[in-house]
Amino acid sequence: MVVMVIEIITMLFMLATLVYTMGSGTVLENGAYYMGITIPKERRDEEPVKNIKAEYRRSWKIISLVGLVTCLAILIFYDYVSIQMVYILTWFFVLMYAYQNSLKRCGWKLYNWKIEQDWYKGSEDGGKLRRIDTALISSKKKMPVRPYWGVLPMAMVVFCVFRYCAVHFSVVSCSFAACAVMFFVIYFVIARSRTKVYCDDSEINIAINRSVKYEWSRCMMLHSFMAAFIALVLSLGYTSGTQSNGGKMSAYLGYAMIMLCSLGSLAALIAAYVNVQEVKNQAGAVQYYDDDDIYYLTGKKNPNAPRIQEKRVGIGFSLNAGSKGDWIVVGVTMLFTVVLALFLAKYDLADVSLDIASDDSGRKIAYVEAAGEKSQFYLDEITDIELLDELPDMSKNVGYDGTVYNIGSFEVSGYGKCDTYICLKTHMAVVVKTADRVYLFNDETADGTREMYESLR
Amino acid sequence: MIIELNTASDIPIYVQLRNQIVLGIGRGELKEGESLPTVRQMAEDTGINVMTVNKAYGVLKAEGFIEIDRRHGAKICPKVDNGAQYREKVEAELELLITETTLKGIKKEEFMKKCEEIYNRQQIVLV
Repeated sequence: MVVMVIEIITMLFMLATLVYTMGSGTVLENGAYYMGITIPKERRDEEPVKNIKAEYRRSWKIISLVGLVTCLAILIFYDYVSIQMVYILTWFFVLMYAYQNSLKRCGWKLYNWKIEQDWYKGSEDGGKLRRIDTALISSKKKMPVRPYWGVLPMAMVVFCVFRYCAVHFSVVSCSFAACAVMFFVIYFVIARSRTKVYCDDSEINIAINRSVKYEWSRCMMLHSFMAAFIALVLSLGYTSGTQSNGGKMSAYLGYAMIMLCSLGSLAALIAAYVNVQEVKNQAGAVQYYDDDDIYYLTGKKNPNAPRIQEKRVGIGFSLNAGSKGDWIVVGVTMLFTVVLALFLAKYDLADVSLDIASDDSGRKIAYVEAAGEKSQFYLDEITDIELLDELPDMSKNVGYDGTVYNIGSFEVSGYGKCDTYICLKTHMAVVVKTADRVYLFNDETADGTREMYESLR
Repeated sequence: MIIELNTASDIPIYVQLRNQIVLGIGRGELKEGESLPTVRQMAEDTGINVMTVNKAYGVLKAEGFIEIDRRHGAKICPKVDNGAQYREKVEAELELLITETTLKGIKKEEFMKKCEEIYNRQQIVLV
């Protein structure tokens, strides 16, 4: 249940970001861009431009509504975490494609209108001119925040990796640790990215570029810290005690910290954007702009633009995509999610089985198996066996705790550390104690669980 | 100082870079002793090959417009060169230019007028 609530909150969070970015974000005072197209500021109130904007707003509302309905449709896959992951990824990319497609359709109309009105400057400035401000380049190194702010998050990541090796591995924690490293890398990309010449006044150029580099590099550093912190919280197990009374407080504290960090990330993004915008507004009108819309509309890589640049639509930076290298980044992300989904699928499709056989010496041995995990014990080593009518509270040490199955090593209330093979669809379970271990398992039905108990007696 | 390089031009980029820096010195936008970005900084920030920037700086150094210090990078130092060699070079270039313009039908008066116009427009500052 908790997993599903987190997923729905995450999806609503993603939807809200998309709705804002693709709605209000398209007409932000983002330099020369209006709905992703370089339209002179004084021309933005003309009737045809307003009509195109209204047309986009209509499709934006429809897509947002469809996004909200399909977001809640994830409840259909309540029992399958692996399908939920693929669903979230597909849902997000399809929604993004729908928004982008609609925006580009209107973008083409604006672009053609611009050419008709002779506002087009592509032949002169279409990325062929490169402007260099010598004073700006010389002061570039001092603009971003110092890289040593990254020592703390990277130390947290190293500690998490140590825990994965020494204590237990957590897929989710590892994903956040990877994000922390990724944000740290993006920090360096932003710090080293090319400066932009906005006008022929070096002081204004330095002020805007310093603001852009400082704010966004600080933002990435904060993101790196927060992702590393979440990885640490998950690694220390603060969120794995939701089913135990003792662990509830620390679990809720863990979830609260994760939510705070997520909101902190969003706040950092908005703060960076607002601060940069303030400096841009103080600096006055931007004199130069590169009319390279055709690369944006056709999706081709602009050979003369830097690798990353401020977004045309919304907040943040975007890749100068279109090359094979950039598609590799997208492909690896997709592959990572699919592999993770396949890994989790074995748990979703798990089936707890109990087999009793004899070994070479004739001793009877029981095998409990689910999702590739296996435990075994001799029947003559059993010291006690119980049939429980209610599932005890349990929290994960190592393994998988999904919406339907708990498989792995769990801390079980009243029994301590147990090898656990539990299907949450039924409340009954069998507890087998031997001299050195405790085993907790059940079948997905009450009758099946009772049969397991009888066969062991 | 703002330098504009046109990647679609027939003029090599290192020549454009050299010319713009010389023009900047002439107009007083780059003052004596002012630092230029290092070769690496300039190349990284413009997406131009390091060798291209290095070549432009090499030409400027050879012509005496800049001096390159290993510790402090490039600095503007336009030396007044009254040497016979430089005057010969200017003469040769002017000879060629005058011949070309005459062959293209530009008269002497028009040529001189244009020279004066450009000279006045450039607002050359003697350093």
